[in-house]
Amino acid sequence: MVYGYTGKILHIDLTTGKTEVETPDEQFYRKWLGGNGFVIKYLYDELKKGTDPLSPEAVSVFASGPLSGTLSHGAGRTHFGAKSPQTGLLADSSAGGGFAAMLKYAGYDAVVIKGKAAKPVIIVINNEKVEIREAERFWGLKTIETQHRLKKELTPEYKIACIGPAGEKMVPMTSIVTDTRVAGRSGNGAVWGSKNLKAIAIYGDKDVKVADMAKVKELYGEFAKKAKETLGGLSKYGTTALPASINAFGGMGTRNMQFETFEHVDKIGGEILNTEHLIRHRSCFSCCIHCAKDFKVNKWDSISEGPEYETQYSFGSMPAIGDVDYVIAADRLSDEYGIDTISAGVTASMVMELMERGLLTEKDTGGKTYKFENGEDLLELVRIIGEKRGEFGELIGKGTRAIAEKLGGDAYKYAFNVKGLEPAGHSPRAQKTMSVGYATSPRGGSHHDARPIEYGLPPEKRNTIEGRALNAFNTQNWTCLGDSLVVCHFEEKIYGTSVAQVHADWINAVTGWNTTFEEVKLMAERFYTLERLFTIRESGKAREADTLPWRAMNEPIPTGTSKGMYTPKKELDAMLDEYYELRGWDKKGVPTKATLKRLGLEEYS
Amino acid sequence: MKHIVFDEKKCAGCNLCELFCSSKWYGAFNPKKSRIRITTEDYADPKYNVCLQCDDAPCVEACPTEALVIDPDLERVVLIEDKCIGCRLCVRACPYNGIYWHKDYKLPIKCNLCEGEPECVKICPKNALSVGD
Repeated sequence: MVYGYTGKILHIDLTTGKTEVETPDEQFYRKWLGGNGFVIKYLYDELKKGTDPLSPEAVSVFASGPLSGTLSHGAGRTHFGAKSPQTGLLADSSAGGGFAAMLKYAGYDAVVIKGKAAKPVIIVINNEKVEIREAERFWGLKTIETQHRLKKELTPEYKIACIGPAGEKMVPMTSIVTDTRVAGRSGNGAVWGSKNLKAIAIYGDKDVKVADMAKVKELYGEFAKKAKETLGGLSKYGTTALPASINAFGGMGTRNMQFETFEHVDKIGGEILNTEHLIRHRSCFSCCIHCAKDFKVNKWDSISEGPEYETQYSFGSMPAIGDVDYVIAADRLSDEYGIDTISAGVTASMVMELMERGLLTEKDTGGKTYKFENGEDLLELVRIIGEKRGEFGELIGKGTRAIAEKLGGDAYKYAFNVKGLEPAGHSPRAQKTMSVGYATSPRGGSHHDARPIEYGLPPEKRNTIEGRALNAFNTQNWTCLGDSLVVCHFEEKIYGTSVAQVHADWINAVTGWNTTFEEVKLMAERFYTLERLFTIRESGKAREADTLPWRAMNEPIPTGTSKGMYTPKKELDAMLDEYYELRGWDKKGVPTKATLKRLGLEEYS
Repeated sequence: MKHIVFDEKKCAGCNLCELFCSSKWYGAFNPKKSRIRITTEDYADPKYNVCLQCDDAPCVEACPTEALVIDPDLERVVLIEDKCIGCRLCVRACPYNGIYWHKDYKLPIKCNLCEGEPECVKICPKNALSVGD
């Protein structure tokens, strides 16, 4: 037996109701590691090219990793994946909480779901026992209520992941919610909805055994000590303190990226949240940092776990909402409907700008004008997306790319997305690592591929492309590995933003292998390059799709510390050339035969 | 008597106490082998269950073989393993759901305060656990 793993992958076919347990050999685990590695492997292999993401043939995967259920930082995180109904490309997204740890305790490393149930169902996993149960009574319920009722029927000890009404209606920008944590990006929730799958509940009482318990405890002890010494701010504020510093840096997307400095940043920032709205601190399973917070709305009676930084950007500075009550409320509402706060907020901001410019009119919106700065307008747009209300709701639930395609004309200039996915709050104009990082991300505008590591640098040091391709390459490799272990990316604040020896140390302590830094780095490159092959297979595009939103490439930041910065096409092209070379992809952005061989991907050539 | 005391306002719900407890006593990570249990649910405060080392202990009362006894020197309810027949009456008797059973063992899973220095108290990152009366 390989320590750390359960040795079992659960396959469920919702059409036939059959389940099957696969028991891969050690070689499989050492090649595909877990989480992200499993997700891309199963998606590539089990999906036929060109499969409709919302068809019964589509596949939904979620996975733990070798470190899940141990003392590793955030070892309860779950990595979800499917073909995205929003982008048509890879949709993998990771949620905090403890769902995947419970999956391991139940005796499985990953679950692969295909088919479509005839009626709404839930899957209940209690150790060896896997049941598909009728779930009409849960259909239509929001996510927190779904979990409450399900726990009442089962026991409170179950861990649950579910979709909300938006997922049921197959809104493309939908999330999967577990507890109050969310796998938000690129539409995994809609895929469950298309399968009539409302929720999965897991209970397990099995061991996760590790090869070297003393070493695991030593690694945890060192991490916890450093976290205590250096990450007090993250423990106290979570990521909510970031708006102040990112705004001062000049990279806080505002008014749909017309600006990158927000005049009311203090009104949505960490100080006001933590002095006037904080209820309590929360933690994911097996994490000593507890960066999550419950905040209350003061104007009326509501609570949300969050917002975190990305949502302060998407529901705060982007739609120019200078009242944090509305940001908290929109966050909770999104979690309840099961929609992605980043895509929803950026799309709402685009609607507001288009209306201001007269490119979208009341005729299109069903008689209503949506304005920047108006919190009620923001909440209404979230509801319209969440409920897929009317033609307008159906359109905006697809995101900014679909709106631009529908309207034509100049609308594309105001569509802030990469490959159809709206970027997070780390500016591709103010940070060139994010320019090349977003452009080459298999997901599109994801801040969990390349990482924003240029904060702290003055504008003159940032306004160069030197080393940016390498930054993107290194940070993407790290996040890909982190999502495979599966751990929280905040580990980078202790271990750094590249694959490091300590990752091999963790894997070895848990599994008993003798893996090396080089082997681990190769794994990350392997998964990333297979994701690239998936992108090319599903879109038919390589380099021509590695691009940035119009504004990022054509419109310099008008004000603030990063004034004048942007990434013109020739800069992006130069970075792409360098980046492809680092990855071993050709000038067109296609992995070469030699690279596939080097990465053990010959069978995919 | 002294027992583990819990501050529900401080606890962030990381469950690290369960992982340290189960690994210390049973050599593996398994919350269902932990002698302390933290249950978390979305917006509610976390709840805890653990042996409260009752002065007037229903488990001691229920035990047919006197395997559970109050040790006045140690100030806690002690399980004498040799005497335990694994009947689980103690698990059922505990009004606080502080004693557990796991199919891998023939003995109840019950907090003994780590013989003086509870691991969970030591490692709790939020100082939500302590030893008190």
